[in-house]
Amino acid sequence: MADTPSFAANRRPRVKNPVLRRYLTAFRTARGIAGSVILLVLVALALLAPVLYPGGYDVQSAESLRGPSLAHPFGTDQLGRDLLTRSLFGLRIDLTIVAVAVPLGMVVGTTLGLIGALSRVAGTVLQRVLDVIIGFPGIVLGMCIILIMGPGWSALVIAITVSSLPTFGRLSRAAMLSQAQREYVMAARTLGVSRVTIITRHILPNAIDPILVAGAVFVVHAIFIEAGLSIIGLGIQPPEPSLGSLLNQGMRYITQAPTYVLGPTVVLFLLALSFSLISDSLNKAVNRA
Amino acid sequence: MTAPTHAPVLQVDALVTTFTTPDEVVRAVDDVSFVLYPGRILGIVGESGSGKSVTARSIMRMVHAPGRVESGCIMLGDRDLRNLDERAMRSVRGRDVAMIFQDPQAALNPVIKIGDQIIESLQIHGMGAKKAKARALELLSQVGIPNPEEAFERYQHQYSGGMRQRVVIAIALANNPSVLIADEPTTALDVTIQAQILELLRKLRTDLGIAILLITHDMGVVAEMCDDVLVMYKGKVVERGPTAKVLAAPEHEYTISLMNAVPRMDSPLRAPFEPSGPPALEVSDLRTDVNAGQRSVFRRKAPFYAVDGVSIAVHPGETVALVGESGCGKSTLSRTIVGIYGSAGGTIRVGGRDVTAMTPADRRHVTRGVQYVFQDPYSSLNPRRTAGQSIEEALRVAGTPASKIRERSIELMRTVGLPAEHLDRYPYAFSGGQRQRIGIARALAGKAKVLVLDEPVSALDVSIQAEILDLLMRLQAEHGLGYLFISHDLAVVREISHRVAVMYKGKIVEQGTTQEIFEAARDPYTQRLLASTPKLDVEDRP
Repeated sequence: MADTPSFAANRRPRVKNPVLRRYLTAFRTARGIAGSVILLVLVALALLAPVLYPGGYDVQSAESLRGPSLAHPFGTDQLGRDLLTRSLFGLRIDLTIVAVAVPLGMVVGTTLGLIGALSRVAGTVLQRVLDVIIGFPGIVLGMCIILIMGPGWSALVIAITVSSLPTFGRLSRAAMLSQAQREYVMAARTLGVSRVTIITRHILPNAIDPILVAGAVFVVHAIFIEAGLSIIGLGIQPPEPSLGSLLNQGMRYITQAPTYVLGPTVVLFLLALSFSLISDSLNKAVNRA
Repeated sequence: MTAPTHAPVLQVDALVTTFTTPDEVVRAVDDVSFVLYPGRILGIVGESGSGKSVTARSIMRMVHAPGRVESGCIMLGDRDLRNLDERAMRSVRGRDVAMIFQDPQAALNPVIKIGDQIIESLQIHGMGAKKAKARALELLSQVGIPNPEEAFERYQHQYSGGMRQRVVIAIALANNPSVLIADEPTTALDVTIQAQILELLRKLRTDLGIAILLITHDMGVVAEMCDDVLVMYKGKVVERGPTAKVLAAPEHEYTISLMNAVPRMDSPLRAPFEPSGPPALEVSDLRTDVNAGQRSVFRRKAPFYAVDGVSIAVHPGETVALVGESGCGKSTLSRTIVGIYGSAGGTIRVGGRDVTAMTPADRRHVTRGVQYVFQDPYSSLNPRRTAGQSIEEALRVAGTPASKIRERSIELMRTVGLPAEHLDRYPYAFSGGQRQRIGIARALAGKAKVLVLDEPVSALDVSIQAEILDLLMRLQAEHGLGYLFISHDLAVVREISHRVAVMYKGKIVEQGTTQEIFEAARDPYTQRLLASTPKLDVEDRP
């Protein structure tokens, strides 16, 4: 080891598990704090939307296509519906899609990547399958899936999950291959520990860092895939709003009410910003050790 | 060994370097002073964390945040390096004070030709292209690289570690520095190569009259090289003086304990071992093909036998040392024995049964009696699992009933001299020596009869090394364990083994009792190894 004095020796940490503690340090940086505050506010608004607007997202009025005002901070749409209300309900939908699709993609993708540790042939075949998925742009892949399943929430979730598989599958395979050469894995092998135990207990916990960071990054991608599919009318169907479908509607009225797209864009931007700040600080935290 | 007649080239006075952490300010270098004279070698010796490398980096002004040179002065001639601006400092680095590091591979750029790297260091300090080339060739021959013209056009990967270190030295010497700081320059090298590099440094000192600050953890290197020595401990200089005096009659308590911990080539040998039964582990004519399984579409790769017909036996209670330099196949042999690599021929008998012919399940069962302890205690423990979890896993695999596991792991911790409450700690909370103890506890979980110890003390400081060797000898006496002790360090081997096997290029070239090998080696390679090992005797220096 290098002749540098050890810093951690005298510290008595509150959180004992070193892995958890390392992740938590991400939320002590300015970026981590900013990202999580924005995210928390967005989540709280999304959760409270039915309370704040008990009438729901489909309350129509005669005041159509108005610009921002005190009564309607984001303005109103072509049917006189309040755009702030619709944006928050849209955010609700987006958050549920992301919260299901990204973890699902992480679990399935990581499992596919780790299969290579059990069988070299299966691992190689799966990697080629993932390569084919990469070959399709996310939107085209999403369109194919929606054409098969019909538009809606679950089709969006599947589309996002499938397009996330290569990211997680390749990352976990790379991490698995590098961890498998480590001495503690060899030590477990010489003790006679079974392969499945080695993968789940030794390799996976040490391979998880890059996967978590990639997960936070992919959330941003997922939001854009949803928005992209909704913009071309294949996402969430009216009258239910999503951030993407609001943008889709707003584009049609861009000449009459240029402020229409502003509100949903801001919300989308804040959501993407919060996750990219979090993934950024998470990345720094896991690479610092 | 004459008294210095020149004015000093470098004077360090009351140097303090601190590292600020959220909790405290660590004084990594604490009031260190010394004087360096031309044509002399000053050694700074100490264990990891003693501040010796930080001292060197402070002189070069290469301490980075959170580190800071707090006070003191560093006089190079009549200039205080602490007062120079960064621009002026850059011209000092390389021209007046040059530095070489432990790892020559990391110090050289892999995609630039060796010659161009030397020329670059000359041109930075203002030499013309034509002159630089001539000087580069001169330097290459000065550091003993054969065919400088040819070496000029080659890349670092085409050279061995020793040759690379020579290139690094050539670059350091390029601008005729008055001071050369060598930070563990031979630690990554084999002992025969180390001897050559040390010889080169001595020659350069004499020929060029350069002052060398040699940082090392190895008392043998100090004894062979240094005129004067500083002993550092926890950032402070605890003892200083002429090498002969410090080594022969240390005064400070720490130096005394350090000198006692250093394995000596003249200490008494262990009592000869009389085997009382059949060997616990017997390897005959073992061959390992490291290219096995690698094939392209068209043909198999030609076999390469890293272990080529090796026979060796370990009895219960006996330590057999396997000695050799990097690449001789000693690690491949040990990993073949425990089943990490497959064998290509020969037999491995554990308790009289040949395991090479067994099914994997049977083999796992039998080879549980032979366990492996790794060199690097930092990488052989899973960082995400506590010491207890690592030991308990080994117990579970060995078939210990669930109700007994906790009890047995506490017992194992005590056996290796660790408190039971440390079971719940993660590896990062342990020192290197403690981690190696956990590695040994894990290996003992399955009631092993033979431990294959792959350089178990090479990554440790000398005082910790002595503790682990004591532990191994105690465990051997208590449990009748047989050890296959793999090492490149002859002084350690001499201290712990009953028998010694010398390995070279995949074959065992000589095998005998420790006394036979150390006092009457017949094989020329063994003789060369013995001659290259640094001795602590200053009078005996080459």
